[in-house]
Amino acid sequence: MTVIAWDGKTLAADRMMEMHGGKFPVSKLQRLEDGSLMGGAGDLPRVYEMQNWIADGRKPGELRQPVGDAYARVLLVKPCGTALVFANNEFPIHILRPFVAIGSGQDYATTAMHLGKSAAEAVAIASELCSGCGMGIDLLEF
Amino acid sequence: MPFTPYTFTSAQLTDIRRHCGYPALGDGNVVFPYPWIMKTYLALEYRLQHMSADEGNVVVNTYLANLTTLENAIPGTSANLDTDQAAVWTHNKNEQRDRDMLFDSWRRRLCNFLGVPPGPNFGGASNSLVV
Repeated sequence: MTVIAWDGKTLAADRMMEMHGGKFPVSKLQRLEDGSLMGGAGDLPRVYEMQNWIADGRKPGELRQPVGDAYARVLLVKPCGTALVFANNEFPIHILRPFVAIGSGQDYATTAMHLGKSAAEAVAIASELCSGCGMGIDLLEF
Repeated sequence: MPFTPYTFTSAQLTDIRRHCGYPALGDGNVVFPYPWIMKTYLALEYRLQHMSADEGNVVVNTYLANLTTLENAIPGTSANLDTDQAAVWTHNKNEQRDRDMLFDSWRRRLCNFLGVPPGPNFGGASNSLVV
């Protein structure tokens, strides 16, 4: 589920959450105290767990191991524009490309941005094509 | 040299399917709507019918043996649920969770060894929130 896209200027996300086979609209983006922008995809409790750890300063060794199969990715965009992806662990992946997407719709969104679309347009396209994305779009900018 | 696949017993096959998270196979008859349901099993069943003797021994002696031990230890944790602290011994409050995780970890290793994705029952009942 989910598509979160960053195009170097705007962080965009769809709103779909799946629970018991149903679709529910939720907000997936947040702005941290230091101004960083953040969005997550995957198992929602794990997303929150990782986002809380990031918001608390990313202290080494303090992110719990995932319970069972819980898996999440978090995209963190720092005020300087640096995009970091956390793939279910404490270790940031520094994305050097000017755009990046995570979530089940990431392939559609990445391709769209590669072809010149904005993050918002990329999320709209992913929402059209990916069965796990949709129900609206949220945007955040610095 | 002709390849002779390892022959698992029916009980071993049942345990492998179960531990890998695949639902009960029943009689395996392919009748409507089973052509769709049976797709779930294809990779797993193919692997199980084409294991070498050495690979089959690893599955039985390393994985099934340990999984049986780990699985049997989980219900026993119910005996400790009423104890928070006894004498100087402190019960691990997360014993059941930790044992579940260890058990699931070994189930995942078995899937990896067999080269199949975890089955649809791997996560248990669907109460997840996914974004």
